[in-house]
Order: sequence, then structure tokens, then C-alpha cells
Amino acid sequence: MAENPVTIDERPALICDGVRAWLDNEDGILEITVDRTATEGLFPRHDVMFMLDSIAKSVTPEALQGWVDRLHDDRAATADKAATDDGSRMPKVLCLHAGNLPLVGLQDIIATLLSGSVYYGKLSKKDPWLADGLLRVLRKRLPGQLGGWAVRLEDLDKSGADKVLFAGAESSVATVRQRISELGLASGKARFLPRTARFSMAWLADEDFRGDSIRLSKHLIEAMLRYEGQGCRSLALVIAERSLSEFAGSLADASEVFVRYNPPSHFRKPGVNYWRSYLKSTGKEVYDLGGQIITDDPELIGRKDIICWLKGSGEDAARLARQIGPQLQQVYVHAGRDEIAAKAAKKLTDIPEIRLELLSDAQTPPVDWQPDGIDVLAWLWQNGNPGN
Amino acid sequence: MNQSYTTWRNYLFNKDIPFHDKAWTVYRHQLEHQPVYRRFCDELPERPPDNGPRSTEMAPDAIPLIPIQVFRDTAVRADYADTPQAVFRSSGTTGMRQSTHEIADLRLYFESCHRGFSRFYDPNKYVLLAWLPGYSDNPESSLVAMIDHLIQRDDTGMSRFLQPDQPLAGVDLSTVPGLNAAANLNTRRHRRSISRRNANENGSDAPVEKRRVMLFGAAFGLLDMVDAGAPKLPDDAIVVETGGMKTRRREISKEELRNKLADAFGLPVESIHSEYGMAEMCSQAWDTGEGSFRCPPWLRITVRNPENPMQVLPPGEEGLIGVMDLANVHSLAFFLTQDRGVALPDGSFRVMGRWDHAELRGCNFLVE
Repeated sequence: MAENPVTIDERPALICDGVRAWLDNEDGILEITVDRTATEGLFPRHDVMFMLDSIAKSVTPEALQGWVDRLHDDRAATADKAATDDGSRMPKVLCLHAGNLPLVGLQDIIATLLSGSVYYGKLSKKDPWLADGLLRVLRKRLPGQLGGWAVRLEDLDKSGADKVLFAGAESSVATVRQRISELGLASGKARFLPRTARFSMAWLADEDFRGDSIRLSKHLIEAMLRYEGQGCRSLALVIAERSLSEFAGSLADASEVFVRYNPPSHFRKPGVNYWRSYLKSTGKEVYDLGGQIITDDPELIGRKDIICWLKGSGEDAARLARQIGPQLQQVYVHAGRDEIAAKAAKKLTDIPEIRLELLSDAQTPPVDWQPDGIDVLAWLWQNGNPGN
Repeated sequence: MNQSYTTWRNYLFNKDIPFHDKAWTVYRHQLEHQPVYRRFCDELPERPPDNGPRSTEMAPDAIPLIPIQVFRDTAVRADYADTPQAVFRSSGTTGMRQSTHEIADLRLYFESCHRGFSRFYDPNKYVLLAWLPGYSDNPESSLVAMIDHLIQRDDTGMSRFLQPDQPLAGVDLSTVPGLNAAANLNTRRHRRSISRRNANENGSDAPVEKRRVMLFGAAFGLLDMVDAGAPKLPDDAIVVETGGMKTRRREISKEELRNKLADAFGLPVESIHSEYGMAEMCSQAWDTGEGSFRCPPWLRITVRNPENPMQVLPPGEEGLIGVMDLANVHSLAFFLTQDRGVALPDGSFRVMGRWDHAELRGCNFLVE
């Protein structure tokens, strides 16, 4: 497909140029697609604007080059890299998007292009316009690497992809494999990378509450309510050394401010009302946070639009992280950057489920963040077991 | 409507009163006597009127189902029942609190079990064997209570619990002393009971009828049994698995379970039946080999939208299993389980393990 393959040295700058052009409304594409996204109620306009701002900050030539450089010396991670460097073999990657751009979706597009692969995408029904606009702008810079994309699987070219990225449980790989094999979208030996993480948690020590509680509650609310709490980086569980009732007032104040500038698209969905009624009828702690609720009932961990706040120690946080396992994306801490390592060592044991990150960065991840703890660029460059 | 236990029993099992009428009657009763259910309904943005619908147009599906967690979070009992006649507790998975179901009228519970069972099987044609390690020593197991009652109702004395410490690998259950096999069934007690029944029914002294073996067991108890070496069952035996897949080992599909049990016992897969019940229910649904469950007339199962449990999903769509068990009139008759199920066009339903609520969070290609 690529008449003039682009080398790894050129790709970061070309990708960034494309993203920048898209953000600068090249050909008027961004303006049109933002309007359609907002008017069709796919995402609130304030979330779209926040997303564009995040992308502008995270997708820079330095960030992309840094990502490539970080993997440069890792032979295992770059076994497939040499082949793609000279364009002698360009693997085809099928991305089955199921969310909005700033989270896993954008990263999958960028990583696929950065890896030297040819991108094929099934766009999310929830985000058909913005992603389409970005891809159209990118195709001008990397024509040989943009294979095709569509909202319906049936409308995709029979590419026979070598690798497939998708959001879903490990147990769903067989179903997805069968479906896309039937449609000829992936080869029989294609490798699959399922993303199983569904939500993130935060651990707050007692000393976190002694400082600037307004700043803390603002960061918590941003992590909980941004993108209506739907992403895997959204904060759905807080383990804290203080109870929910002790901090509910601060959260309510921060929520009020957030909602004033970022009104939720739904007041409270029927399912939320249902659980809110139950929690109230049984005398449990429950408070409204925008279109979501927050409760101290541990049985509701991981439920859509419900945030759980449990009083507990660092050991409790570690135990819960283990229990939640692959459905957990990040563990956030409230600290200065230099404090993270010290906190991790002090409060949380070294277990694979715990990937520590700053609470304030919850909704503004770096471009090379790792969904499920897997570096997608490294995965794309690996010569893995074809059947995996 | 505050009635005596006897009146309620007569009412609930009255075949001439449609489910619709009974359901609204129980709803009104529960609003009056179940404070937690009352509060739950009052908190809902929309619910049917206290007195039920004015016409018969509103289906009982509009009755709110309270989360099954209520059996763990509160003491579920009607406010008129000071001392329950029995208390059932769920087995509970690791780290989970147990459900507690206080039974105000044990006779109603037993009557519901027996009447329900009898709708699908003729009790006079079976010898019941129960293999329930882990349950048998639990005096608060509803499963043990139900099977014990069915065993007690067998006047041949053949039905029994198998001892958990009794090795069963390779044992021929049709020849265990006191059990089935046409010859073994010819015990004096059995002959007497049959003769008595025949004499009562038609005055004849008909020959003794052969009974089929029905082996009850929790799903993983049965799997453990066959892993250790399956006992030999008569060719016409029935194995009834009673669920319990969530408590031990990995969760496996119903189809996989049925096939594995059928292979191990050397029976056709149609001979692997299932019971759907739980500590929170006074009634049970039965799968008599078709692969889907059916309910007795006082029990209704619907499949609800996990994102809006007030909404009943059409046949074919997976959701949460909602229970309307009118035999729970003295506790909580309307509740939403955490079980994943699907209704079928013929009115039966299937159970597919536990619903994973986190599936609805984050991005999911299959959900989309």
C-alpha cells in the first residue's frame, strides 16, 4: 500500500503535524464534527472541548519521540520494529474502538501509525465524527498507513489484519475473533489485545485531608465526573482513611462548581435513581454528584454511574486492587510528583494490579499511558505468538 | 389485607385467581407491612399507586423489584411476624455477607416447594437421592430444607440424603440397599404404601410401580463427585443440579455443566435437569431437561434491563433476573437478583451465571 514508506524517524513529526492541523480546524473539519458530536448528544460540548485541550497538550513531537526512544533499547519490545522501519513489511492493525478519542481510542490510532502499521478501524457509535475527522486529516500526511475505517464492521474492507486491538474481557476474545474472521477482517493467526480495565481507584491517606481540601475535592470531582465517569481512567472507587460522611460536604461543593460549568447530559439515569432509592431506603450513606451518586456501600463497586467511597487503610486498598484485578486501570494518589514513589513504598505493596499515578492527571494522561498496564506500541512491535 | 397464614396459603395456591390479581394483592400487603420495601417504593421517582392499578391494564411487571441485597442489608420480615418459624441463610461467597431470609410460615414454604415440584414431576414416581456436601450440615440451608421436605413426603422411605463421607466412585446406586432397582423397591414399607394408595384411589391391589432415581446435587458438588469417579445410575435416572456454581471453583456455562454431567453419568443430556432457587425464594423454577426453566403459577421471572431495572426486556435480550415470588408474601416477594438471564419466547427462561456490572462501565466493544 505504501509507495513511499515513512521511516520511524519521520513518523512522530508527521503524526503531530496531522493532529495539530486537525486541532487547527484544517478544512473546517473539526468545527463541523464537534458540532455534530454535541448536537447529536454523543458527548457534551464541554467534554469535547476538554478533550481537545488534553490532546493538544499530550500529543507533541517530544512526547511521541520520547515514547519511541523509551522502547528503542528494548529488543523484545521492538522485534517487529526493524521490519517496519524500511517499509518492507507493514502489518495491518484493526482497532475496534468502543469509546471516545482521548482515552484508549486516540492512543490506538497514534500507536498504530507510530509503529509503522497500516490502520484499519471500526469507529465507535459513540464517537463517529471526531475520530473520522482526525483520520481524514492524518491520511493526508500518512496516506500509506491509513487503510480504512467505518462505524459498521460490515462496511470495513476485508483487510485480513495481523493484530487486533479492542476493549472487552479476555473471555470475549473468542466471540470477537469469530465475528471478525467471518467478515474477513483479520487473518486466522491474528493476535488480539483485549482491554479489560473498566475503572480506576484512588487511595487517600489521612494526611491528604490535612492540606488543601478544596484542591483535593476539585481533583477528585474532576476524576469522577469528567466524561460522565465512563472511561476506564474515571475514578469509581475511593479508599480513604476518612469516611465518606466526613468529606461529603467538600465533595458536594466541588461537584456543584463542576456541574455549573460542565452540566451532565442526563440528570440521573433510571438505574442511578433505582440504586439511590435502595440506598436511601436501607439508611446507607448516599450523595448526589452530578448525574452520578456516591455511596459507602462496598457491594456497588464498579457499577455504572455509582462511585464507592470506603473507609480503609493502604492494606485495604491493596487488597481491593487485587480483588478487582484486571478490571482496574489506575490507582491514583494525591501528592506532589516527587512524593509518589515514597507513598507507594509506604502504603501500597508492590503488586501488578497497582499502577500508581497522580490524581490530578486522571483525565489528562500522557500519550504513552498504558491501558491495562500494557504499552500498546511495544505490543504492536512485538513478534508475539500469532495465536495469542 | 392482613390475613392469617392459612388464609394466605389458600389464596396464593388458589388456581382460580389469576397471577395478576394475586400479585397486586401481595404488593399492597407488602407496602403496608414491609417498612423497607415501603421506603424503597416511596423513594422511586415513579411507582404504581399504593392501592395498585385502577384497572387490570397495568401488568404486575410495573411492581418495583427491590435489590436482592436487601436480604443482606436488613432483617427482612413482615412486621407482624415476631418470631420466624425458620431462618434460611445463603451460602455466601468468600468475603460476602450472607443473605438472611426469615420464614414466618414454614408450612407455606413447604407447600410452595412441594406443589411446585409436583407440577413438574410426579413425586410418586421417583426416589430422591441428595448429594449435598457442604450443605448437609447447614441447618439454615433452604436447599436442604426443601429436599428434606420432599424426602420426608416420600412414604416409601427410599429417598434419602447420601452421606458426604461415603465414597461413591463406581458404586451402583440402583443396588445400594434400601434404594431403587425394581427388586429393592419391593420393600415391605413401599409395598404397604403403594397398596394403601391404590386401595384409597381405586380399591384395586395393583402391582408395585417402579420408581426412577432422581439425584439432586449442587453443581460443583456433582462435578466433584464425578471427578472422583461417578457412581452408576440406572439408565432412566434423572440428575437435578441445583445451581451453586458461583460458590466454588470457576464458573462454567450451563451447557458445559450439563454435557459434563451427562457424559460422566452415562445419561442423555435431557436427563440432566436443574432447579432455580435460592435462600431468598420460597418457590423454585424447574428445568426438566429442555435447557430452560419454567415456574409454578405463583412465581414469575422476568428479565430486567441492568441500566433500568424497572424495565422488562423482551425475549432474547440478556439482563438481570427479576423475581416475583408470591410465596414470599411474609418477607419480600418482589426483588431483583444479580443473576444474568434471558427470557425465551415460550415463556421459559435461562440462567447464565452472575451479571458482571463492571461490564457496563468503561469501553466494551461487545456491549457497544
